[in-house]
Amino acid sequence: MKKKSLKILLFILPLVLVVMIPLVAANEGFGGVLNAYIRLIDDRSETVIDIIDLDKNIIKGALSGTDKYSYFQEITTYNSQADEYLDSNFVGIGVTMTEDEKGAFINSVFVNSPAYRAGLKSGDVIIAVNGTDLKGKSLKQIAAIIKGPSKSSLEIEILVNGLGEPKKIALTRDLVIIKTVTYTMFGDTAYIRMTGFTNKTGEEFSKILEKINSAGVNKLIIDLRDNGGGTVRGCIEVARKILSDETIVKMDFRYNGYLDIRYVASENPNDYEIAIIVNGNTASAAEILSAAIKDNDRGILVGENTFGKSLVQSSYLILTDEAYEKYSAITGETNMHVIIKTLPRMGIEPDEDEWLGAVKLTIGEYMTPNGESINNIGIEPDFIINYNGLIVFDYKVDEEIFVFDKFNIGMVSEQVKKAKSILADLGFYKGEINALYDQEAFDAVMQFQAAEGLYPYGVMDFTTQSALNNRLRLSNAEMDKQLMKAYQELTKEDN
Amino acid sequence: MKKKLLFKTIYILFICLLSASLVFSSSALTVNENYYDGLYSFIDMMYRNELGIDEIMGASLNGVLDGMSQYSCYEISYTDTGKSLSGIGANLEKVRDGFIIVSVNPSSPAYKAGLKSGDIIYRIDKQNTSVMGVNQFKSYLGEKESVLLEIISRETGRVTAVRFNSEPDYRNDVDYVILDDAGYIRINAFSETTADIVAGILGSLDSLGKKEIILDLRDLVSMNIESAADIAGLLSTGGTIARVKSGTFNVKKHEVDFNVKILVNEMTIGAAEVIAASVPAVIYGQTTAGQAYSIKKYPVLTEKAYIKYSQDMGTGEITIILNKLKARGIELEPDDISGYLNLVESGVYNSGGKLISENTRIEPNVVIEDTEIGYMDYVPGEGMIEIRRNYSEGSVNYDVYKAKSILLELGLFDGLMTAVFSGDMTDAVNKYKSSVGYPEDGVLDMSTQAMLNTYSMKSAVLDDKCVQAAVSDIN
Repeated sequence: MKKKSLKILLFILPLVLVVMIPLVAANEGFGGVLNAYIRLIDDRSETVIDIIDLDKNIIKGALSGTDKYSYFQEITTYNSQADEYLDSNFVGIGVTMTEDEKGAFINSVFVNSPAYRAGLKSGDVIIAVNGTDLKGKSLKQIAAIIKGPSKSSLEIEILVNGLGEPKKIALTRDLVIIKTVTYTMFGDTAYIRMTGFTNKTGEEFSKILEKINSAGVNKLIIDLRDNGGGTVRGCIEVARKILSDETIVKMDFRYNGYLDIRYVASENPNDYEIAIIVNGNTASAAEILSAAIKDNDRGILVGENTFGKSLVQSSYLILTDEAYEKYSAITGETNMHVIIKTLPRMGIEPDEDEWLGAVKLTIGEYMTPNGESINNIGIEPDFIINYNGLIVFDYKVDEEIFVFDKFNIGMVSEQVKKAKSILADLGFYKGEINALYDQEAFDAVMQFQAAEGLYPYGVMDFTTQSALNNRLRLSNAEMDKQLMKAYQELTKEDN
Repeated sequence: MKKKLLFKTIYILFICLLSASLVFSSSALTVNENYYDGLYSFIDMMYRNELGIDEIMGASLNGVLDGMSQYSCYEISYTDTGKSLSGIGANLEKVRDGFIIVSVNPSSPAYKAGLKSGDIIYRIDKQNTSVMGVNQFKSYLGEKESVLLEIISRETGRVTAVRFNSEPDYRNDVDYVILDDAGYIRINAFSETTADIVAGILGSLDSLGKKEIILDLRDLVSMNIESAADIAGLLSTGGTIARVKSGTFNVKKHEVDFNVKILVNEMTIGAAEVIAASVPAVIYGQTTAGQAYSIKKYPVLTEKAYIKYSQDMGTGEITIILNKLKARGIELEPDDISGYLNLVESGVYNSGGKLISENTRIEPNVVIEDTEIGYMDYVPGEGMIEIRRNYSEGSVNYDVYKAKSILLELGLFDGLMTAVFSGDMTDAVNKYKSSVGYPEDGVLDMSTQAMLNTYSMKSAVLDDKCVQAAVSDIN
């Protein structure tokens, strides 16, 4: 009897098992459907699923279904994206980068850096350095490859605007002085060049503005060409200095936990007359500033239609599968982000290897003060002027006189040589370009002083040297059609 | 007694094995569902737009497939919106990174831009095309005046970006040109109707008394094995054409009246190799690629549909749900499906029973160094129809006049030579369409116009080393 029941059991068992297999429960939600299809793929595919990287591959895949600015980041990349390389001077080529599927995407190029002089622009992608392919490398690794001793040379391969055939460029590393704001005066107009926005940009801008204010100047040309943006904070700080009690930008976030922010300028600054120069590489934070000036009617925009990127991203760490289970149990939460936000409050810090990586997500969009979205549209300037040439101010600094001494006949200085060169260009001086302040130079300076309405006494004083520098800048600036238009429009309002 | 014991032992052993195998199969690969629910709710909470589960499911499945064959991929289901479709003059098939170029049409924008069979279009206006379907892509082209396509070259692996102006899209699965001694047939794409078109062409050749065929399979990268087997069946004398995991493609023994010469090169891949291996023919050109996959298509259910059908069918297993639905004759509604999963189920075994692979590349009987297709530069001449739109009875257009001229030469039209699409023109068009295997709907559509144009391509087709070799062997 017992034997028989065993026999029956043995007979029925496989049947029960066979019947049981199809009874895999169908679970709701993303995970449920995903699993159902993973089982299908596992069952019906010729090749096997890559189990080791499965979680990463799924998340990478999922984000490929969102916009192009949202993607998975390896933990090393996440850690290195802190502004470490923005906070100090260093020897390099002078670019800020983010990782790109092809290599390193250039966000901004520092003025007068080796990269700047070689013509690199924001939007270009570096794909190789000295023959080493950058594809798949973290930002930290890429930075390590690019940095090196001063005056050492390197060869990079870039894709201009990330497209087309690679272009090889030879560069010499140099000390890069990280300034996002530089300025120069010409006449009663201050020209301010901004190449990007960091958390220090506001501070740099304030210092420069103080000097401009003390010179009694209220006309500002702000050059945002090839400025690919940066931190929103830097941009807001700048805008607060030149607007008063006006909306700078509205931030529209999806997540209810993030309040939609309307940044308002509250400081009460001078009544500046402002012209902003923009081009097709003016993007993101630089567009916030441009739109703030335009929509509040606080100045004019000159140049080309801007890039049109108003989407805002943020990076979030994500836990591994096991760590999620562990911390979900501890916190009693299920949403990944809620768990991660809850842990610090409980005094828990996950180990390094409990992070799978991070996801960079587009979390919202900024709207211009008029409530417009400029994404993929850009901002149309008031005066459309096309210009492809160099932004000359950044190139000609070496030719200016370094003003620190007065010069009279018989004195010898490198500065005299520069002065002679400028006077020759202006047609006042026809002699040899050398360092001696001779009679010919004296006569030329006297003529120049007369022409400028200065006291004509032949001594090259500070005022005269500044006037010479101004003339140099103006003669160079004539090449730059966008700058000239901005200058003309600002000075025209005087009349 | 001893025998009984032996039986018992075998039985127990059998059960143990069965149980083990069941336990093994029931521990099928899965991921932690809670984890993915938690991750999804986080992304959906933060991302700027609402993200439906179904919206990112397909992209996630592409992630699961990462590292597998390019041909295993997800594709969004696309319902025809009635918007005009545009093309770049290349035939495309879906792969995981985007679209693979099956073949390039002569003097098309794609040809002029240097695109080649096997290249992959992976971004359009800087957006990934990984989940986009072919018709969705063509519809996007139709909406834009021009698009920037980024293409991965099969040859160099490099990405190039090309700007295209969109132009009307039309299917031209087969080019057919009547030469003096033979019919020249070039397959451009494999679809459900390609075999019908080829059958029509064979019928018309037969009625013209031509027994020689030059079948051009060069620069043809497709994995539509089913369509290839149908075409091969027309020219094969019978037996197995190909075998894949889910079945065997057989054809009944039958007489074939044609002498076939097949042109191949290193870009003769997949479906084309199935034909070249199974059709009795003399082969000209270069060694083929030796690469073929059998792809099965599975609908991807929306979350809502998955829950509904799994409750109805009492299982969470997709394959069982689909089988039960089929058995009960229940059709899925368009709303039930977010897209399709194309899975490579197996390789392909050729008519000789060998797996098509690098070891079974097809070696030509006559090796020809230069395998470039002769008429790729061919520019439509004055007598050619400018393919712009469909025409039917009542239409008035100069292109109708040109079509009449060609049909007159073919002996299918003998009416008044005007630009008016008259009743007798409808008859002529139908006669022609039936002769090439198109449906007799009286419409002079763009595909028919393309086919009519090929009659004047004779000299261009002959400007081809492989065609010349094949023709000289006929004489």
